[in-house]
Amino acid sequence: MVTEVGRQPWLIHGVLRVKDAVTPVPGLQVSFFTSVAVYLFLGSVVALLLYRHVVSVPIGTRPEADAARSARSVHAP
Amino acid sequence: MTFWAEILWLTLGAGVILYALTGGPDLGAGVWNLLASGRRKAEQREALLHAIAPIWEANHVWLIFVIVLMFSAFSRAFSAISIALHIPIALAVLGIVFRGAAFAFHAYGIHTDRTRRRWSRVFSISSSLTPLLLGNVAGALGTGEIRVIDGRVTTGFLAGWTTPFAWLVGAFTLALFATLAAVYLCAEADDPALADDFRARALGSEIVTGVFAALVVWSARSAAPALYSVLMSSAWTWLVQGATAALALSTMALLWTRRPRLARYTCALQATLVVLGWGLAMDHHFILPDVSVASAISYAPVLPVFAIAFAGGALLLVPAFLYLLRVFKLARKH
Repeated sequence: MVTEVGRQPWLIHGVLRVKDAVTPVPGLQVSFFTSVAVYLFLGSVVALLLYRHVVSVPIGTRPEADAARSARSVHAP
Repeated sequence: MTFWAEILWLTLGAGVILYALTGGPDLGAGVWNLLASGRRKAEQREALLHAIAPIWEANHVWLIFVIVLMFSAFSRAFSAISIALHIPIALAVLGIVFRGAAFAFHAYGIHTDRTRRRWSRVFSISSSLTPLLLGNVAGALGTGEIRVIDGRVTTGFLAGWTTPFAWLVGAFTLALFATLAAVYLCAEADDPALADDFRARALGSEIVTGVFAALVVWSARSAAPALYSVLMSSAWTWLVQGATAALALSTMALLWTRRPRLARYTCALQATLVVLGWGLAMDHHFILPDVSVASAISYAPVLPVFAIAFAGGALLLVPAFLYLLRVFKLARKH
């Protein structure tokens, strides 16, 4: 935030302004909101999947049982 | 054109070829995930997921390589292309993001069967749409409909990529990538019945690729006249196109006679010549007719430095990449 906001209105300080560098393609807000929505969605899926991984590990099992289970469940590296 | 611009143009071509040979079948595998059928439906999916799992991220390094080389050495072309073809490129990016995410979620998540199937479907569909869009972008550059005057795109945001020709090139690309995937999978399959499934798919998709290749050339005559005139007027194109067709036929003959390990090489060579033929037909242009290699140079004095930097990078990258393939592809065979 500091670098991005701090250098405004320059993209490259003293050389190129952000408003001169931006693409002239219309409807950029569509790209912006789509990207934000996609990353919010994917981010929440990651959080959900990590959460499921954590809660699916029972507490207090023996280490060798854990090792055997993870060897079975990991297919892809 | 300077010597160094020529070297970097060729390096860019090499990057596109490597992407077609590695990232291409990686995307093409999505088609076979979508079209998995018959008695060994589950085994087909298992085989292709297993084949791409260790290396799919590495394969897409070549696309990044092409993009970085373009914006550092040929930024004028990069700027014009990303403005004129903003829409198909943005859609292709979405496809790449969704396929990668869906693949990772599918492989690592703890799911019910239903959600796993759903992620598998997202992976298949976005993998199949991406080559269609990448091919569309490549086709659009040759239509002559995108005009760039004094460094500005003057034809708006729909020129080129909305033509039937560009979509035919997209469909051709998809068919070619699917063929590569099926041939690689056929060669890698341990189970003979499974190898036969992929063999049938490879033969079928090779025919579809041939049909689309003919349609692309036929359609180029009116839709991409500049490209077509280079294709028809020089001796080397006939040589390259003839060799491409000969390799496609050899691939089919080798598959027919159950020699998929050899077919893998002829098919890879076929895809290499397709990219080479396209590069030659573009006649030293990024966008026909306005953006030539010479006019796209960012800043001529830095070109030799780029060339040396890329050569140095290749010294590190190529052995690492070959080692990766060796570990995950050859070692499996014991």
